Amino acid sequence: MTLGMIGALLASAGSLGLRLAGPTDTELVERFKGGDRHAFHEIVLRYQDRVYGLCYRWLGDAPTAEDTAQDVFLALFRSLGGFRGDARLSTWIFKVTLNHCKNRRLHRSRRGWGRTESLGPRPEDEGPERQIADEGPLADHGTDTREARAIVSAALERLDEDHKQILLLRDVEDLSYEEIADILELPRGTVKSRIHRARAELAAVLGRRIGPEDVR
Amino acid sequence: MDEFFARNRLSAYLDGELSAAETREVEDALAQSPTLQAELETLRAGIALLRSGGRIPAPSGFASRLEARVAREPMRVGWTRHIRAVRPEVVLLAAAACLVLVFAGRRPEEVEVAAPEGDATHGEEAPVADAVPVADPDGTAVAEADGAPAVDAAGMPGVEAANGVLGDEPLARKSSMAKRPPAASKPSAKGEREAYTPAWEQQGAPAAPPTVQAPPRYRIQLTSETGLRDLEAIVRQYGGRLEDERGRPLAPYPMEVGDTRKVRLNIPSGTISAGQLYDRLQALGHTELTQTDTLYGGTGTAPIVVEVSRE
Repeated sequence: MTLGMIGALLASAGSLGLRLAGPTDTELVERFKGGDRHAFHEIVLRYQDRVYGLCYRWLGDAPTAEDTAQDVFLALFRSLGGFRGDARLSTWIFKVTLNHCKNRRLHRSRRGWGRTESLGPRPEDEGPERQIADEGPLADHGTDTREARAIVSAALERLDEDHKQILLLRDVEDLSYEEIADILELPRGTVKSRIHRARAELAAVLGRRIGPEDVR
Repeated sequence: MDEFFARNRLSAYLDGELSAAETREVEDALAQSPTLQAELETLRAGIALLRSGGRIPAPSGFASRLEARVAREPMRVGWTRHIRAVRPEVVLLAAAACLVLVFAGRRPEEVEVAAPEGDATHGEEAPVADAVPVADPDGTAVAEADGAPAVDAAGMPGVEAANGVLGDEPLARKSSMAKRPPAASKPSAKGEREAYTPAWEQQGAPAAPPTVQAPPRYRIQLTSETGLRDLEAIVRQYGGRLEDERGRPLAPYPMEVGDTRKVRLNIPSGTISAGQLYDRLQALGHTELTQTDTLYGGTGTAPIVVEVSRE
């Protein structure tokens, strides 16, 4: 069984809500500091979907998202030996990811590059295993995952960058207010008010985009 | 709680981030206001929409492609691991050797008595100055060595090479000693100060004063204003602050594309090295270490100048 298969199995178990005993992030970092390269591989398997997903949502095309995600992990590899554990590893990874995404986007915008690919569904999204059950009001209107993703992407693109990032962290990555405060280095109160403003802006954008009946 | 305050707490209410008392107040306001209820449902629908997009998995082969890139990278583990790996008897032996070297090389009278002109091995830095090439009578070789860019074996301004420079008191003292004119002709009596003639103006000495070297500085290119923010956060962790060129607290942001700012890093001596600082900024994605990126060598006590540019 390859490592990739093991990683996929672990990810599947996680998505099913199963908790398998495994090393904590701290233990993996310590193992890495002790010279264990495989510990880094485990960290990659643990975070690759979240890092890549964030990059994809931020940058909007698969090749750039993968490049950026790889750069994030490479930076992680280079500096993990000096990681002191003042913050959680996940917090640090998200922070690095956001910075890389912003830099990449800035770099791209200076060269006048636009999106090279639609933010809509990718070919690999077609499989039934990627269909995530609709929840809430949207299910009643038949909006499937791919449509939802496209609508969300288009709406997020119209938001202020600060609002976009805080919504991705809170409502997509499901991070707590404390984690977001750590990542963005903001006071918790600012996080709270910014999340509210971001959601209000999103609601306004969505109201224009899909009509009030879709978001009621 | 009136409607205005309740409206501003709807998101936190949905996230369960309100206190019990606030939750009750928001629920009371909701019960009395259909408008507020509609706004709550709109927010709830937006959240549901964001979540309905699901996780986007990394493409297949992502980890193996990364592994191929990582395989070319050396492992960089914490320096303390190397210290821990050293056997205690080796440490004791090294310490004893250092003591012998220090006491053997120390000539106390030279601290007070000026060394002969041209002798670079003056002062309490004698063991260090002994390493200066003999062919360099004015001692500038030490200054040049201090001021030279820290370059690693690969020819790249190196994180490792620069470690220990920023806030490194011994290096700073070494540098200041080296830059000082030779003490040979400087009289010790206070009253004779006006008659003091620098060594380079004395007969037989070169007519021109020694080259005045520009203060060494660090130049760290940051690619965004978030880099400046992170830099500030790191500096604060070490009890320091960012200052403008006049030593005033730095007026923050925003920076426009193409802006370059000179920032003084006022950090207590010995807290973080330039290499560590650079490493942390790089880890946060603010710098891309290439052959052209610069991290100049510097001395510990001089303020470090960082040029923040968005190029």
